Amino acid sequence: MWIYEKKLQYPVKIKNPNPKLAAAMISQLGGPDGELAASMRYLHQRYGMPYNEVVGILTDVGTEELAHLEMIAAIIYQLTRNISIENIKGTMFEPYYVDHTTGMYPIAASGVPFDMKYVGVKGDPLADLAESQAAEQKARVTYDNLIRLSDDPDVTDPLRFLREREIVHFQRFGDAMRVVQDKLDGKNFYAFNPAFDKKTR
Amino acid sequence: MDKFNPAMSQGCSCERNDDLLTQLRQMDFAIVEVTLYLDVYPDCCEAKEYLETMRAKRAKVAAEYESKHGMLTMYGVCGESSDKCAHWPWHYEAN
Repeated sequence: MWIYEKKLQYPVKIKNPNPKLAAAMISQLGGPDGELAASMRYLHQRYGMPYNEVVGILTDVGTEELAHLEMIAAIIYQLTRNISIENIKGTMFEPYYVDHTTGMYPIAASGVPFDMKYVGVKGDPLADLAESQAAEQKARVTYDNLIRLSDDPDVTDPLRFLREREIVHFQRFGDAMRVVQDKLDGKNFYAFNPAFDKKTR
Repeated sequence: MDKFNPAMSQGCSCERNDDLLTQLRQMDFAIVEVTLYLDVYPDCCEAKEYLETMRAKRAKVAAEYESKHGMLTMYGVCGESSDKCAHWPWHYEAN
């Protein structure tokens, strides 16, 4: 089970609303490399993972991504609070406003709603961990892009924290990859799938 | 129509931000970091020791925080915070 803790992992305190910036930030909520995709990817990859250490890291990183999902939602919530229709007209936020007002809907900055097609679960430890490592780098690039777009230090500060987490998670998944490869090297030179081909475990 | 304001601010103005919350976040960050490390390096004695120390410190600060601001989780310590005064984590005033 999961337990909700009533605080953000890192503070989000944005003084000035900015719907235009919110329209860019929304991609880390429901975009292809966003936090929702990240948590869904790691939490579901766990079931096909035959090694305890790797299930552990997927559980803990997947759980941390849920905390990041709430941080991103907090950024968007605070960027769109107390805004008038005049703040919205003619900005990138206008199409989102038509469909969702200032509600929180997981969608990419390009306007595509969240899709599990962003997430790869192959049921093979090497394939899934390679996917997860790539996902962390893609999320890091998205944060790079958002930091370049942000002209508000109140927004940039939590984005820097989140970017740093992508780097640490990439590192830990790299360690997990070594764990898997060490186990495969013994009797499984040809990388048969240890999650399915039972004799290779 | 230009006065239409769908996102009124919520709750009262009492802020939850204080040293306790900062301390709690810092300890939780340390615990998350060392937990991820121990997932893939489970035999590191130094990391295990660090985790135990941080967990003990965290428990103290969390109890103090909860008695002042209300429960962090459904298993928390019942504190002074009332519904009238409650801020959700995504509110400006909660950070």
